[in-house]
Amino acid sequence: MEIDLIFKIAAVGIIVSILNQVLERSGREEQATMTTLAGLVVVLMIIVQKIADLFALVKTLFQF
Amino acid sequence: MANMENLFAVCALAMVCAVLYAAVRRVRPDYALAISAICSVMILISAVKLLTPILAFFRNLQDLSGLNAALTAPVLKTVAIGLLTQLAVSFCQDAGEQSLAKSVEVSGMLLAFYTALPLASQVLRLLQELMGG
Repeated sequence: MEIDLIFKIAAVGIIVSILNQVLERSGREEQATMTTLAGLVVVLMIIVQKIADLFALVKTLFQF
Repeated sequence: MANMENLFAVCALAMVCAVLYAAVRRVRPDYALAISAICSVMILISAVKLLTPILAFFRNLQDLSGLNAALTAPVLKTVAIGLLTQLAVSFCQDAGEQSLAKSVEVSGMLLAFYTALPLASQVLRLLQELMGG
């Protein structure tokens, strides 16, 4: 099992939240929002790939 | 003993994921949901991989009984639909989207019924033949 994916997501979350705090404190709210969105897109890409793997596995096993 | 190791891995993964979820939830609830999502997908992948020998046994039974594959295929497909629908419904419920969860549930139910429709119509035809009309 690729347990590193979970740590990767948690790390992205923590980094994004730190960046968010720093950017918000320095008065760059738009950039903070963009950073959050970019981090979320990265995480979603990882999840979507894994979900696609699951769907492909179910498709082959159950002969859809 | 491969399945015991699998169980240990699943339990460890779920516990690690629960701790990470609790840690990240306060800072960023969206990432916490992502962690729980990927963890459940990974656990499900490892569980579904174990289905291969079970399905091989099922095919063996099917060959022995001489049943047509067209009769057993809807059963397997319905199981797959139920599995994936349950996963999606749980995601939506975790995210607090009850209406989304309900719609996925209803669509999964309809899809399962649609898949099982050929079987139901065959049963109906058989009943008509038995009743002579």
